[in-house]
Amino acid sequence: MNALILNIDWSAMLVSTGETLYMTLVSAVFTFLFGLLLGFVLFLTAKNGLYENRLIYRLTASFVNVFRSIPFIILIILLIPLTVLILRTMIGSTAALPAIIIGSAPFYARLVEIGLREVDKGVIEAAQSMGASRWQIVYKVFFPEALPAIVSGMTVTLIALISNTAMAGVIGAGGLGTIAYNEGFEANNNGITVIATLIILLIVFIIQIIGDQITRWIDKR
Amino acid sequence: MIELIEVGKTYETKDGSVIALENINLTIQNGEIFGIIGYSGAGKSTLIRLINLLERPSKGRLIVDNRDMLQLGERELRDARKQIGMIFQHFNLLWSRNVAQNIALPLELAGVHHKARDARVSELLALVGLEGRGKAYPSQLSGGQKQRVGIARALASRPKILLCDEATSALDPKTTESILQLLREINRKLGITIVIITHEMKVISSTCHRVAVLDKGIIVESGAVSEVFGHPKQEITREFVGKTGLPLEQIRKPKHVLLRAVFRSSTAQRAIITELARSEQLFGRIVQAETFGDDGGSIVLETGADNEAIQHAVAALRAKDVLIEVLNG
Repeated sequence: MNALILNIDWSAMLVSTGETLYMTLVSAVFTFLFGLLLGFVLFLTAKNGLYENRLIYRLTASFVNVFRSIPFIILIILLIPLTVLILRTMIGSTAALPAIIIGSAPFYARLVEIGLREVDKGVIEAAQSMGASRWQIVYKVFFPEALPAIVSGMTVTLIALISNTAMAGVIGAGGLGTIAYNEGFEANNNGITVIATLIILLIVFIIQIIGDQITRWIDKR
Repeated sequence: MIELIEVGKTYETKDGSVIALENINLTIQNGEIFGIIGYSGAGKSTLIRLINLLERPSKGRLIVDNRDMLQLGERELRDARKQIGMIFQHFNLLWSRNVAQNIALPLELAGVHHKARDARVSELLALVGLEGRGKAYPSQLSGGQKQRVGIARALASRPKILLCDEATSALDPKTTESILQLLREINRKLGITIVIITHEMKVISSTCHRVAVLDKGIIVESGAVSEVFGHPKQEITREFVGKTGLPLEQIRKPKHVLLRAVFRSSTAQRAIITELARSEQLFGRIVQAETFGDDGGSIVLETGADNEAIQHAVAALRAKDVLIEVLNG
């Protein structure tokens, strides 16, 4: 064990952790925004929804279903042209972001949609009886009433998202995935792989604890 | 005033169309408490939702406060709805908001300034007897308290009409009575028109002025509560009447004559008591008694008096505005 730890370049490990956190944080923000938007669009344009619209529903649902079904490792490769177009590079942490976001947002969208469907129909009826407009119902009723599901869905998504950052690492995104693969596996230094894993687990646990805490705090049921 | 003119509602389903309501003609006066009673599936919920157009009728006309509701655009309809409060069987409070915030919701939707909102909320909390509970969340309240919040919320934008959709059906009898008392108080204090739908006879007899009996989508009987329940013409109405006191079958096999006297005023009430006191022979025992509305009610008497004495009493009471009938003659 001592030998294992001695063989580790801690400053490189720190840089990798930083890269993983960077990818997680930035893609989390965009995943949250896109996923929330897609989830609301799915829910509101569905049959009997407040803004029922078959065309928009079908388009959104197809997009979500397709990108949720493609295995992440293939999605990264498929998205290389798009990434190069937007960011002019296909290497590095930033280059991994489009794939991570497009891979996670549809998943989160479905969780948001499920959360919205759980909102009590009677409450919507009550808001309508008060003369609320559709938009008022969306932001004064649906959003706050579904908020615990929206937050806990984000916790679940974040954990899936971190595993995607690690996978992106294998094809050169940097971060703990890269260090575990290049320095750990390829250089036959298992200590690095073990430490990288432990750091990822630690990040996941912290996110889970914070997410659960926020959910408990806002859930007044 | 609420007027429904030849209103019908038909649902289109996969197996064809289902008629929920047919040829409904109803006029509800300003300031009255109007009850609609019927079994589940009779179309009560649909009927009350037609009044604020949560459900749109398939045919007919709907006039609320001289406004032809079916001609209104979306924005006008939303404004019209602000004049019609509604409370629900399952309260339908937002659990994410505390009591004060729930009550403030209609005011927020109407764009009322937050200072005016706070003042109105404390007024309403006092009105429904929930002073000091503004910061509690719905999950911390009992059913009766939740319905009080529902009532306060429904009254927030000072509507002229309050719709009550089975508002006491999820509550125990004692809480039911306290909520009904609150509704009566609000009706008296604010002069607000109240429409109640229910399957409970007690709700109608204790609280409503007029009633309509709904059966399979049709209004089979309507009028003053004492009239409709005092002289039920339809079998279904008789069933509801029988649900208050003793089952009618039990009363219908007596040894002697059964008289039902129905009164609609305190004068008529006094006349009955005077008549009973005057003729010792007439008074046997009281089999059933109940009250309708404020001064109305009915007494069913078993009497051992002979035919002549009964006829005499019947004539005397009819002259004093008491409706009287022999149940087993």
